[in-house]
Amino acid sequence: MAIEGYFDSSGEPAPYVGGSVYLPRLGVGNRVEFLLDTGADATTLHPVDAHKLGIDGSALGPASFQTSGVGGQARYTPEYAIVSFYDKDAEDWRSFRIQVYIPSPENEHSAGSLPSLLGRDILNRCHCTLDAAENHVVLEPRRT
Amino acid sequence: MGRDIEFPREYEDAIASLDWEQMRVDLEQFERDSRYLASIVPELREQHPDCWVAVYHEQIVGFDPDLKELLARLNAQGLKQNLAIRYVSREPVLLIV
Repeated sequence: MAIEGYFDSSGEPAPYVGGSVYLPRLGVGNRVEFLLDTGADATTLHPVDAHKLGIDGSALGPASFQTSGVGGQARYTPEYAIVSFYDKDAEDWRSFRIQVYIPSPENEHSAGSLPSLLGRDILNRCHCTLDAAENHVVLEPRRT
Repeated sequence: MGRDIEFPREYEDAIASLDWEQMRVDLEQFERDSRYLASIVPELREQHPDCWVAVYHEQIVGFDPDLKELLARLNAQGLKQNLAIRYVSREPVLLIV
Protein backbone atom coordinates (compact mmCIF):
# COMPACT_ATOMS: atom_id res chain seq x y z
CA MET A 1 0.00 0.00 0.00
CA ALA A 2 1.69 3.24 -1.11
CA ILE A 3 0.72 6.83 -1.71
CA GLU A 4 2.88 8.62 -4.26
CA GLY A 5 3.82 12.27 -4.32
CA TYR A 6 6.50 14.20 -6.15
CA PHE A 7 9.34 16.65 -5.69
CA ASP A 8 8.64 20.22 -6.77
CA SER A 9 11.90 21.34 -8.31
CA SER A 10 10.99 24.98 -8.95
CA GLY A 11 13.42 25.75 -6.12
CA GLU A 12 15.32 23.51 -3.75
CA PRO A 13 13.36 20.26 -4.40
CA ALA A 14 10.48 19.95 -1.94
CA PRO A 15 8.27 16.87 -1.36
CA TYR A 16 4.56 17.26 -2.04
CA VAL A 17 1.61 14.90 -2.02
CA GLY A 18 -1.92 15.54 -3.26
CA GLY A 19 -4.93 14.57 -1.19
CA SER A 20 -8.59 15.19 -0.59
CA VAL A 21 -9.72 17.10 2.46
CA TYR A 22 -13.27 17.03 3.82
CA LEU A 23 -14.35 19.12 6.79
CA PRO A 24 -17.53 17.44 8.11
CA ARG A 25 -18.66 20.23 10.43
CA LEU A 26 -18.63 22.72 7.56
CA GLY A 27 -19.67 20.23 4.87
CA VAL A 28 -16.91 21.33 2.48
CA GLY A 29 -14.20 19.45 0.65
CA ASN A 30 -11.59 19.96 -2.04
CA ARG A 31 -8.24 18.77 -3.30
CA VAL A 32 -5.14 19.99 -1.48
CA GLU A 33 -1.46 19.78 -2.29
CA PHE A 34 0.49 19.26 0.93
CA LEU A 35 4.15 19.99 1.56
CA LEU A 36 5.51 17.16 3.71
CA ASP A 37 6.90 18.86 6.81
CA THR A 38 8.51 16.77 9.52
CA GLY A 39 8.99 20.00 11.48
CA ALA A 40 5.24 20.50 11.83
CA ASP A 41 3.50 18.90 14.80
CA ALA A 42 0.17 19.16 13.01
CA THR A 43 -1.33 19.34 9.54
CA THR A 44 -2.39 22.82 8.49
CA LEU A 45 -4.61 24.35 5.83
CA HIS A 46 -3.10 27.63 4.78
CA PRO A 47 -5.06 30.46 3.12
CA VAL A 48 -4.74 29.17 -0.46
CA ASP A 49 -6.55 25.98 0.51
CA ALA A 50 -8.81 27.41 3.20
CA HIS A 51 -10.18 29.84 0.63
CA LYS A 52 -10.48 27.13 -2.02
CA LEU A 53 -12.62 25.25 0.50
CA GLY A 54 -14.77 28.37 0.82
CA ILE A 55 -13.90 28.88 4.46
CA ASP A 56 -14.04 32.39 5.73
CA GLY A 57 -13.15 33.47 9.21
CA SER A 58 -16.76 33.69 10.37
CA ALA A 59 -17.23 29.95 9.89
CA LEU A 60 -14.31 29.04 12.12
CA GLY A 61 -14.36 28.51 15.83
CA PRO A 62 -12.14 30.47 18.20
CA ALA A 63 -8.44 30.60 17.30
CA SER A 64 -7.58 28.64 20.36
CA PHE A 65 -4.14 27.34 19.48
CA GLN A 66 -0.96 29.32 19.70
CA THR A 67 1.62 28.10 17.20
CA SER A 68 5.27 28.87 17.07
CA GLY A 69 7.51 28.64 14.00
CA VAL A 70 10.54 30.14 12.34
CA GLY A 71 8.49 33.15 11.25
CA GLY A 72 7.10 33.81 14.71
CA GLN A 73 3.86 33.00 16.49
CA ALA A 74 0.30 32.89 15.25
CA ARG A 75 -3.08 31.66 16.36
CA TYR A 76 -4.79 28.81 14.56
CA THR A 77 -8.21 27.19 14.78
CA PRO A 78 -8.59 23.41 14.90
CA GLU A 79 -11.22 21.83 12.66
CA TYR A 80 -12.25 18.18 12.28
CA ALA A 81 -11.04 16.86 8.94
CA ILE A 82 -10.79 13.67 6.94
CA VAL A 83 -7.55 13.85 4.98
CA SER A 84 -7.49 11.14 2.32
CA PHE A 85 -4.91 9.91 -0.14
CA TYR A 86 -5.38 7.44 -2.98
CA ASP A 87 -3.22 4.37 -3.19
CA LYS A 88 -3.05 3.47 -6.88
CA ASP A 89 -1.51 0.05 -6.21
CA ALA A 90 -4.21 -1.01 -3.81
CA GLU A 91 -6.86 1.00 -5.73
CA ASP A 92 -8.20 2.25 -2.45
CA TRP A 93 -8.25 5.31 -0.27
CA ARG A 94 -6.35 5.73 2.94
CA SER A 95 -7.99 8.25 5.22
CA PHE A 96 -6.87 9.93 8.39
CA ARG A 97 -9.33 11.50 10.83
CA ILE A 98 -7.52 14.39 12.45
CA GLN A 99 -7.88 17.99 13.37
CA VAL A 100 -6.35 20.33 10.81
CA TYR A 101 -5.25 23.77 11.91
CA ILE A 102 -6.37 26.86 10.02
CA PRO A 103 -4.93 30.33 10.64
CA SER A 104 -7.32 32.81 12.17
CA PRO A 105 -8.31 35.68 9.85
CA GLU A 106 -6.02 38.08 11.65
CA ASN A 107 -3.12 35.69 11.10
CA GLU A 108 -3.84 35.03 7.43
CA HIS A 109 -1.36 37.63 6.35
CA SER A 110 1.49 35.97 8.22
CA ALA A 111 0.56 32.60 6.68
CA GLY A 112 0.60 34.41 3.34
CA SER A 113 1.51 32.26 0.39
CA LEU A 114 2.61 29.23 2.40
CA PRO A 115 1.54 25.82 1.11
CA SER A 116 -0.58 23.64 3.35
CA LEU A 117 1.59 21.38 5.48
CA LEU A 118 1.32 17.64 6.11
CA GLY A 119 2.52 17.33 9.68
CA ARG A 120 3.75 14.56 11.90
CA ASP A 121 0.17 13.80 13.01
CA ILE A 122 -0.04 11.94 9.70
CA LEU A 123 3.64 11.42 8.75
CA ASN A 124 4.35 9.51 11.96
CA ARG A 125 1.66 7.02 10.96
CA CYS A 126 3.46 6.24 7.72
CA HIS A 127 6.71 4.85 6.47
CA CYS A 128 8.00 7.79 4.43
CA THR A 129 10.48 7.49 1.58
CA LEU A 130 11.96 10.66 0.13
CA ASP A 131 14.57 10.63 -2.63
CA ALA A 132 14.89 13.91 -4.50
CA ALA A 133 17.39 12.53 -6.99
CA GLU A 134 14.84 9.90 -8.08
CA ASN A 135 11.78 12.18 -7.67
CA HIS A 136 10.50 9.60 -5.24
CA VAL A 137 7.97 10.55 -2.57
CA VAL A 138 6.13 7.60 -1.07
CA LEU A 139 3.98 7.31 2.02
CA GLU A 140 3.09 3.83 3.23
CA PRO A 141 0.52 4.07 6.01
CA ARG A 142 1.12 1.63 8.81
CA ARG A 143 -1.76 -0.66 9.62
CA THR A 144 -3.31 0.03 13.00
CA MET B 1 1.82 6.46 17.68
CA GLY B 2 -1.15 8.49 16.41
CA ARG B 3 -4.58 7.20 15.75
CA ASP B 4 -7.71 8.59 14.15
CA ILE B 5 -9.52 10.96 16.46
CA GLU B 6 -13.16 10.43 17.29
CA PHE B 7 -15.59 12.67 15.46
CA PRO B 8 -18.98 13.77 16.79
CA ARG B 9 -21.59 11.25 15.63
CA GLU B 10 -23.62 13.86 13.78
CA TYR B 11 -20.90 14.07 11.12
CA GLU B 12 -21.07 10.43 10.09
CA ASP B 13 -24.03 10.76 7.72
CA ALA B 14 -22.28 13.45 5.69
CA ILE B 15 -19.11 11.40 5.63
CA ALA B 16 -21.01 8.32 4.47
CA SER B 17 -22.42 10.28 1.52
CA LEU B 18 -19.03 11.27 0.07
CA ASP B 19 -18.56 10.25 -3.58
CA TRP B 20 -15.19 8.53 -3.31
CA GLU B 21 -15.06 7.57 -6.98
CA GLN B 22 -15.58 11.17 -8.10
CA MET B 23 -12.99 12.26 -5.57
CA ARG B 24 -10.53 9.78 -7.09
CA VAL B 25 -11.11 11.19 -10.58
CA ASP B 26 -10.80 14.73 -9.27
CA LEU B 27 -7.62 13.97 -7.36
CA GLU B 28 -6.02 12.38 -10.39
CA GLN B 29 -6.57 15.52 -12.47
CA PHE B 30 -5.56 17.77 -9.60
CA GLU B 31 -2.25 15.92 -9.23
CA ARG B 32 -1.54 16.36 -12.94
CA ASP B 33 -2.38 20.05 -12.68
CA SER B 34 -0.23 20.53 -9.57
CA ARG B 35 2.79 18.93 -11.21
CA TYR B 36 2.25 20.94 -14.38
CA LEU B 37 2.00 24.15 -12.37
CA ALA B 38 5.22 23.33 -10.51
CA SER B 39 6.98 22.67 -13.83
CA ILE B 40 6.13 26.08 -15.33
CA VAL B 41 7.09 28.25 -12.36
CA PRO B 42 10.23 29.64 -14.11
CA GLU B 43 8.10 30.94 -16.99
CA LEU B 44 5.45 32.22 -14.61
CA ARG B 45 8.05 34.31 -12.77
CA GLU B 46 8.50 36.18 -16.06
CA GLN B 47 4.87 36.21 -17.23
CA HIS B 48 2.90 36.65 -13.98
CA PRO B 49 5.30 37.77 -11.26
CA ASP B 50 3.94 38.24 -7.73
CA CYS B 51 0.61 36.69 -8.69
CA TRP B 52 -1.51 33.77 -7.62
CA VAL B 53 -1.84 31.50 -10.67
CA ALA B 54 -4.58 28.91 -11.15
CA VAL B 55 -4.36 25.86 -13.39
CA TYR B 56 -7.18 23.54 -14.39
CA HIS B 57 -6.84 20.64 -16.82
CA GLU B 58 -3.22 21.72 -17.40
CA GLN B 59 -4.22 25.16 -18.62
CA ILE B 60 -3.70 28.49 -16.87
CA VAL B 61 -7.24 29.65 -16.12
CA GLY B 62 -6.48 32.81 -14.18
CA PHE B 63 -3.96 34.90 -12.30
CA ASP B 64 -4.18 37.82 -9.88
CA PRO B 65 -2.07 39.43 -7.15
CA ASP B 66 -5.06 38.97 -4.82
CA LEU B 67 -6.06 35.38 -4.00
CA LYS B 68 -9.64 36.20 -3.06
CA GLU B 69 -10.15 38.22 -6.26
CA LEU B 70 -8.82 35.33 -8.31
CA LEU B 71 -11.07 32.80 -6.60
CA ALA B 72 -14.13 35.04 -6.92
CA ARG B 73 -13.52 35.43 -10.65
CA LEU B 74 -12.99 31.70 -11.14
CA ASN B 75 -16.04 30.84 -9.03
CA ALA B 76 -18.12 33.16 -11.22
CA GLN B 77 -16.92 31.13 -14.22
CA GLY B 78 -18.04 27.95 -12.51
CA LEU B 79 -14.53 26.91 -11.54
CA LYS B 80 -14.33 26.18 -7.86
CA GLN B 81 -13.29 22.62 -7.25
CA ASN B 82 -9.96 21.01 -7.85
CA LEU B 83 -7.99 24.06 -8.95
CA ALA B 84 -4.21 23.91 -8.60
CA ILE B 85 -3.19 27.33 -7.31
CA ARG B 86 0.11 28.70 -6.15
CA TYR B 87 1.73 32.05 -5.54
CA VAL B 88 4.56 32.84 -7.91
CA SER B 89 6.98 35.43 -6.60
CA ARG B 90 9.12 37.50 -8.93
CA GLU B 91 12.21 36.24 -7.14
CA PRO B 92 12.56 32.77 -5.62
CA VAL B 93 11.76 32.70 -1.92
CA LEU B 94 13.63 30.53 0.57
CA LEU B 95 10.94 28.58 2.38
CA ILE B 96 11.69 27.59 5.97
CA VAL B 97 8.71 26.03 7.71
